[in-house]
Amino acid sequence: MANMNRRNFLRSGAATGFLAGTGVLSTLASGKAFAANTSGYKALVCIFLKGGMDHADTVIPRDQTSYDLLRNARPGLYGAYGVGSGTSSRDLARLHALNPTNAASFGSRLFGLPEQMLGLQEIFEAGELAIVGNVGPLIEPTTRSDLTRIGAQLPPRLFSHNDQQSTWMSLGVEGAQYGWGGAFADAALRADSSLNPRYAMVSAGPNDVFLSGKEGRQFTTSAGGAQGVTLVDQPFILGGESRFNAARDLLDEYVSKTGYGETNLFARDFARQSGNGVINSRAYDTALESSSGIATVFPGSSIGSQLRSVANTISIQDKLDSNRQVFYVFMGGFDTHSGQTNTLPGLQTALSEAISAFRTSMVTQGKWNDVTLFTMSEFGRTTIDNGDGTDHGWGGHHFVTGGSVAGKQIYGDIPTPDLNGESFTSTHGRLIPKVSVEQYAATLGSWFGLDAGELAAALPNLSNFSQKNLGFLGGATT
Amino acid sequence: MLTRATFGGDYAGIQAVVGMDIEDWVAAEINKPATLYLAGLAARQNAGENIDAQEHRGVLWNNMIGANDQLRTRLVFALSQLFVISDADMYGQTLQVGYFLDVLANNAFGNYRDLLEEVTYSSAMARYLTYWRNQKGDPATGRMPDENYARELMQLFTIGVVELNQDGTPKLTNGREVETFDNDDVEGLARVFTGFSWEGPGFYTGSQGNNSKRLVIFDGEHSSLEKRFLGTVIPPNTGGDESVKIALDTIFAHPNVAPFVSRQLIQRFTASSPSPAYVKRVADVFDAGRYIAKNGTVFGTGERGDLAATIAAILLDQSVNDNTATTDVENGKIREPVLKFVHWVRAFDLTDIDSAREFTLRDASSPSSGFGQQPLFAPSVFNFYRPGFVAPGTETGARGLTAPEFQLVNEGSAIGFMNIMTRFIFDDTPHSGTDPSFTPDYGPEIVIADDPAALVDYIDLLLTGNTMTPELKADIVEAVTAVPVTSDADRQRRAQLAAFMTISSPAFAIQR
Repeated sequence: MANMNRRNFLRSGAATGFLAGTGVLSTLASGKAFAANTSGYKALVCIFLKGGMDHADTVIPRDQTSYDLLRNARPGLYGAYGVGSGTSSRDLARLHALNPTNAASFGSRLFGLPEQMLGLQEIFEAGELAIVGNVGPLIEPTTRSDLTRIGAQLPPRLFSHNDQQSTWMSLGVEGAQYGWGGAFADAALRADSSLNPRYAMVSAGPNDVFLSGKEGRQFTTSAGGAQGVTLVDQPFILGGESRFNAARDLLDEYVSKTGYGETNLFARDFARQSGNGVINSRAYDTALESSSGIATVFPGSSIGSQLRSVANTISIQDKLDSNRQVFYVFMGGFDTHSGQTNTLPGLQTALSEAISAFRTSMVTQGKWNDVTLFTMSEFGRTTIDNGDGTDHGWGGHHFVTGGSVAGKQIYGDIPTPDLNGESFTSTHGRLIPKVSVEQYAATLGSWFGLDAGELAAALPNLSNFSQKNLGFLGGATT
Repeated sequence: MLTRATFGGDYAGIQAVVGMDIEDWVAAEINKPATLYLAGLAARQNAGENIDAQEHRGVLWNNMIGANDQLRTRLVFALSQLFVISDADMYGQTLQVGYFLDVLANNAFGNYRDLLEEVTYSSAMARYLTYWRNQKGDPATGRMPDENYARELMQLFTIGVVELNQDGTPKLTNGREVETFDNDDVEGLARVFTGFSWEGPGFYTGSQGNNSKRLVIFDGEHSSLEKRFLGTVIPPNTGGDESVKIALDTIFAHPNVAPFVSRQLIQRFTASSPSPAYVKRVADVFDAGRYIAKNGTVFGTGERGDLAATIAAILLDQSVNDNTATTDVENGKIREPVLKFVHWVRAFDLTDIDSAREFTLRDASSPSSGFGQQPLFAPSVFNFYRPGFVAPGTETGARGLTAPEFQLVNEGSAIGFMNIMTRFIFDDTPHSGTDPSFTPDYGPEIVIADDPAALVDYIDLLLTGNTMTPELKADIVEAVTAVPVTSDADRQRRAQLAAFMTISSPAFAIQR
């Protein structure tokens, strides 16, 4: 009941105005729940970088020794970047320095982001962004010698795009039906029946498995917000005269129906999805139209408009009775087998600018402490180049940002690019993950409010890892 | 049959096939000469037209809508979803895509092994999967060949990731699936796809003008190392063309090819979740290279991989032609948005078809302002949807039925499709120029619009093959009746409303 009161409190305009920008929302969230904690507002925002992001061309060594090791492994790539000219974004002197508070644990090694990611570097330095190094799918802790050891458990179908995308999202190869984003939202929905299951899992991108849950269904929103059915909403189309109103009213009922007496299962599923799509979209649209909207200007890129949709949805979360939400957006183009130097920098700019705008919007809304945004990608890439690109790898580095993030730190592991080292496969320099996707997910889920039992249910291999919380969202590292 | 094998028909088209032997119809379609792409595009360019803005897109839509060889064109669209290229980065490379479409059209009723080879040597595929000018490895720098095509050729175009039974289900050993290849196979096979470039004096000097010709392999840039994959070893110093031949022969010989390809082609034509028995019947035909229809008509040459036989087996299968086709609740195909749109265009005899002028058709991929699907414009080599997709939270999903198209056709895209179709139905789509474009002909409907039941019956036949449920039909009749009629403009409103409601309905969405 405390939750209901809390939401009613938020509904009052005066209260919302008071809270805006104060960042106190998450500090009000407290209390030991026997199941998922659903007090206050919390949102997880996943950006999936499709194609396999080249981690080594993103978090780049800045000490001379490591820098040279990487450059030597990638002569074609560094040549194409024009490294050595002094004007290349990959020249050592042009990298934007990261000054992690845990620098000591990396000895003399230094790290930087390319200039395209200036925005993320600033958020890192401000203490609101963390890097989690060398994350990837694992069944159990795995070393180089395990790769050839009979009986070692390795994730199936490594290096395959669709299967590793599915594994990151759902911990199973392609064909899996439920994602851990959906499972996290499910836990909140089960714990608090007052939450609206229609808007607990929101995609501003494709209908991927990450948000598939059992208690709610994925809601999709587009850049322009949700839409109405124009033939119903815009009278001039059928005819503006009132004599057509009766037909319009019948049409209105018709498009909101979720079945027309079908027996065929595909037809039944279609009818249900179509009707629910209309119903949910209209309710969302009504909520959005009654709100003042968001002020922040987002970049016009695809990721910019997707994150704008997320920001819009968060701005009306109280009207939608949704105080636990998991969002999903995506970027494509990271499969840089060829022409990497022509494409990756632009993607990095787009990602950095969109996240910066999103942060501004959340701060303005007073929600930054209640939102954690993180990246995923099906794999990192080979450390060795193929001329002008890189091939499929395994582990990769990721970003986590939000007002609750214990930022300005590098978690996990960023191995020195010595390809003979234990952190790499024997050919091509593919990173063997140090941190499992499930440890990464568990840390996010714990912050989101799931208890240990719920995390274990959502993350089937978590029990194989002693550390269940990486600490990047504060609290004890366990 | 028209809905399953073509892009749909108008009333006259439907009447023309009534009473015809479907075997004869399929045989006639297979024998029609191919509508091709490259020559027409090249002629336009030679005449001075700027075709760089991906003019092939307009041609592809035009052919889907109007080409006489409908079955072949439908198969080209299906094959373009198996051999996926995205033309997103083909701006200024229109002829390259034209060549690729010709490869699909010319080999559509040929042999799958030949198709594999011609696709491999096409510039569009080499660009998309990044083996165009792919260099051999360099021991001095550690550089390795690009692995992109080697992986996807096996994973997506031929054998898939796990060993299959002939009925398309995975083989299990001790209860576990068996992977068809590992990364060592990919690394070994990657050496084969080195040295490809445009024809010309050198690897880097081939003329762009040759981008709409078969690629050539420069042996100096082709890996001379041993190539080891799938149990085959190509000895060192084997030339490029010979290596490709051995590689494709090796892959094609894998028993997975028949069930892997057959199941996906079935999904594009007749069933979103074909039964294992259906897959096996078609896969057996793929392997035999010959299909003998009930009336004795023989399809195919008898060579393994014959696509004419395979397509005939898919379309003429008992499961889609006997009574269970409409009564079995697991039967049917979710139609992808492109098929639904083109069917509407054909059914309503639209005139002023010049797809290049229609802004929507240049990029219809947005689910909120387009159809959520644009031919040749899948988001990745994994196509618009995956063949094994099972939709969560659905009745089909609860039975484990696959439903690839539900990845596009779902709650999130329902309104977007309704709204773009509203614009087409009410002839209000943005297009270049002031001349009419994509104009529907509601003449036949206006004639019967005073009788709503007759109007809806007619549209039921036209768009759904008479698969509306009584409740659905009653809903549409009721709404149409509520439009008062005082003029032909009102009668047209009735036709438009009935068309919209049908197009938004499950009867139109699910083909049976």
